[in-house]
Order: sequence, then structure tokens, then C-alpha cells
Amino acid sequence: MEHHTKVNFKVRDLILDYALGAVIVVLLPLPSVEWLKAIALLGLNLCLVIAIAQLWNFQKGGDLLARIGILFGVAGAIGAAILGWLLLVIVGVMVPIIGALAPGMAVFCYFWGFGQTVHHFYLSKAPKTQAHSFKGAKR
Amino acid sequence: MRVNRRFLLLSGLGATVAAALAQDQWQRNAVEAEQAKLRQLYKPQTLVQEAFESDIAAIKDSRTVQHSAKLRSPILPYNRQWSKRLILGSKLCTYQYLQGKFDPNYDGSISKLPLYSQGFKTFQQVTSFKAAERFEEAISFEVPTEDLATLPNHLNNIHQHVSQVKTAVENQVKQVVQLKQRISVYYGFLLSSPNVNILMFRGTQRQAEWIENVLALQTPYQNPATNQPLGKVHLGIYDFYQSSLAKSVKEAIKSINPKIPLLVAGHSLGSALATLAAMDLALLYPKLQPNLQLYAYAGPRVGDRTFIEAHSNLIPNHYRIVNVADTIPLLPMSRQLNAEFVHGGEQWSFLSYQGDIMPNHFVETYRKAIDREIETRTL
Repeated sequence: MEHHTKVNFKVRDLILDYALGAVIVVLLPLPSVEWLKAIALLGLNLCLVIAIAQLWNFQKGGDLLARIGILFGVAGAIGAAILGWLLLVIVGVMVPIIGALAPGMAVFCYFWGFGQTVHHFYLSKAPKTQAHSFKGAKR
Repeated sequence: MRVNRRFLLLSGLGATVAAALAQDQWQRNAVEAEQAKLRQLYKPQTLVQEAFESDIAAIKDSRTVQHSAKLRSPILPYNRQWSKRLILGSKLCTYQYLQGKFDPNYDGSISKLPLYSQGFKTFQQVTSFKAAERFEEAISFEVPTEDLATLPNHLNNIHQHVSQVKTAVENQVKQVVQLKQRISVYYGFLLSSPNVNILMFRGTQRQAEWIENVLALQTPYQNPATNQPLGKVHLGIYDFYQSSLAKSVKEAIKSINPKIPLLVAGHSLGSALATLAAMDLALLYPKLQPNLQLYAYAGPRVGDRTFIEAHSNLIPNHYRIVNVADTIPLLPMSRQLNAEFVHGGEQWSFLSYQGDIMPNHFVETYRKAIDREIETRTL
């Protein structure tokens, strides 16, 4: 398996790419395709999980805290999405055109937060030997 | 330049954001244009003027409908002495209803009621009209629960608990053991004398009857002699009259002399019932028809123009006595219900403002005014 630091960089890039993709999907100015957009976002979300898991070689294991952590992470991602959306809506009151980007901000925050949650889940169950070698690499 | 996934995504994002912003701007412009159009239409002065004009048109429309009804003028003049007696009779009807409702042994005789001696002694009561009240009544029964109270004195510590249980059981039993039924009540009476006969109907007593008075749908009036439709009338009142009173009124009238005047009268709902009864009798008994006189107090409008014109032709001696401060004669709300209701009869009005809707409508308010002879002919 690759070094954690490398995986970390790859996962971060991956999450950013998916988040950008989700923003594109949600902001596409097509009329009456809300259901399609929702399905596409769900698909992207699922693909993101699989892609992160793939980078971590679908590692088994993980303790109870790591599993519970997923729930908190998802809740945090949703909270971040709401706050991001609210921020742009408020800014939109003063600069009206910005308000149109609020849904994009919401899905970006959500995908970023959600991706990080999955990433942390795998990180928390990574083998210890890797951690030691990480110390060594630093030196 | 290296084209990778991130580059493509960022380019796509840029294009999407630009498109989204452009669409948003376009929508804003469309809304602005719509608002500008509406602003051009918004002329407060004109709108206020139009609202006033629409109200005036509505008033004119209502008056036109009423005035366009071709009503026959009475052949006989309005008789104040009879009117005084008939409004007293309306009150007697209410007493009869109340006595019958709370005294199961009451036989409907008006001679036992207060006010009887003030003008009705010379009359003989032919019959009373009794029918099931239009609304169900829930009657609670007292169920013997004395056994729950018999408790040995030394059991004081549990007495409190038992007492609570007893109260709960008693309350529950009262709620459960109820009988819902329609009870028979009095709706009026028929009096005879050598010179004149009187047919009286009582007014509205129950809250539900009021709601029915207000929410009026129309139904065709069936000529009882030919079964042909003759205009339209108030559905609730007509249905009730036909199903509960028409038959007994028709039968009772057979026993009186048709060659002497028959005064038909009633207050409020009684006025509407009297209007329908007079029409039925005029159509069924041609000998009686010229002798019919109708005194309608505080009555709501009963029928449409066709019905009222036919009614006026058959019963020209129809007097409608109203307190102008009384809202009930303004019912039913024909404009709101999109149904035409017209008043019939010669209007005699007075003003007696008692400070509220019901006091303005009470029989007593009418009786006092008529006793003082303050009602005047209204054109």
C-alpha cells in the first residue's frame, strides 16, 4: 500500500474534483431537470465513496469510534452545506447576483465535508506500521 | 498547456457559473420588466374609484332585483289591531315550543300559557303542529353509581383513591351513556273563531337553525295541486316544511270555515314557514285563497322573483313587518351565494335599535314597536 501522505494528497484531490463536478451539476442552468440533478448528485456521492475506498485498497477493520465518527462527519457536512448556502443567500441580499451561486456553495461544502469524513474513516483504521514509517519519512 | 481533469473541471465550473449567473440575470430582468408593467397599471386613484363603483353597482343590482319584482298591492289595508294580536301570537308560539320541550306531559294547549288571556280567549284551538326538531339532541342519563360510595369507615387510607376512581367512573359513564335522538317539538297552532281563523308558526330557536337560515341554497317550489315547479325557494326551510308540517297543515285547514279570513303569521323562521304555508293553501284551496292574509314579522327572504310574483298574485294581502335595525330580513346572502332571493309583501318598517343583532330581532322588540304603532308603510 502507498504511504499515507501520498494517499492523503490523492484523496484530497479526488474530493476536490468531485466537489467541483457536483457544483457543475447543480448550477447547470437547465429548466425542469431537478430530479435528474438530484439523481446525478446521489450517483456522484456514491462514486466518491467508492473512489476513496479504492485509494485505501478497501481496507477492512475500523473500531466503533471510527464508525460513529462517520455519522458526526456526515452531520457536519450537512451543517456546513446549510451554512455555506445561508452565507451566499445573505451576501445575495446585498449583491443579488451572488445569490444564484448558493446551491453550488451548498453542494461544494457537502461534498468536501463528506469526502473528508470517508477519508478520515479509512485513515483511522490504517495499519500502524504505516504510521511508523511515516515518522521515519519525516526524518 | 497541460489539459488534465482538474483543468477540465475548473473550465466546466467557470462556464457553468457564467451560465447560471447569466440565467439569473435574465430572470431578474424579466421580473423587472413584469414589475415595470404592473407599475404602469397601478393607479391608486383609479383602483379606489373602481372599488367604489363596483360597490355601488352591487347595491344598485340588489335594489334592481328587488324592485323589478312585480308585486300586487294589498286589497285590504294593514290592520294594526290584528298585527298587535298576531305578534303576541308569535310570542305565544315560542312559549308553546319551550313548554313542550321541557314538559313531557304538555299537550300543546295554548290556554295554559302566559299571554293567552291577552287577545286569544275568544278563539278555539283547532290543533297544534308538532314535528321532530331538525337537529339531534344528546341526552345524558343518570346511571346509579351509589354502590361506589358504600365503603367501610375504617378504610380511610384508601378512601381517597376510591373517591377519585368513583368520580372518574361517574364522569365516564355520563359521557358514554348518551342517547342521540330527535325530539318532537311544537311549531305552531291553528285557531278558529266565528269571524276569523289564525294559523301561527314559531320562529328560530336553535343555533343550527340560524346557520341554516344564513347558508341558503335554492330548490324549485312544487305547486302542491299540479306538482309543477313555480320558481325557486330556500332549500332548508322548504324541505323542512314539506317533510314535517305541510301534511298536518293541509289536513287541519279542512276543518275550518274557508269563507272567513285566515290570518297566517309568524316571526323569523315562522315568517318563512307562514309564507310557504300560505302559498300551499292558496293553491290547494281556491275557496280559501281570497280570504288569506299574511303577516310576516322579521322574515328572511324565501324565494326568487318568479316564486314571489306568483305568491303576490295569489296572496296580495301580504304585509311584511321589519325592524330596519334587524339583520335577519337581509338574509339569505343572495349575492355571495349567487342565488336570487326577493322579498314579497307590503313593507311596514320601524326602527328599534337594541344594540346587538339578536335583541334587534327578538319578538319582544317587534311587539313593543307594534304596540306603540310606530311601524310605517315603506315605499
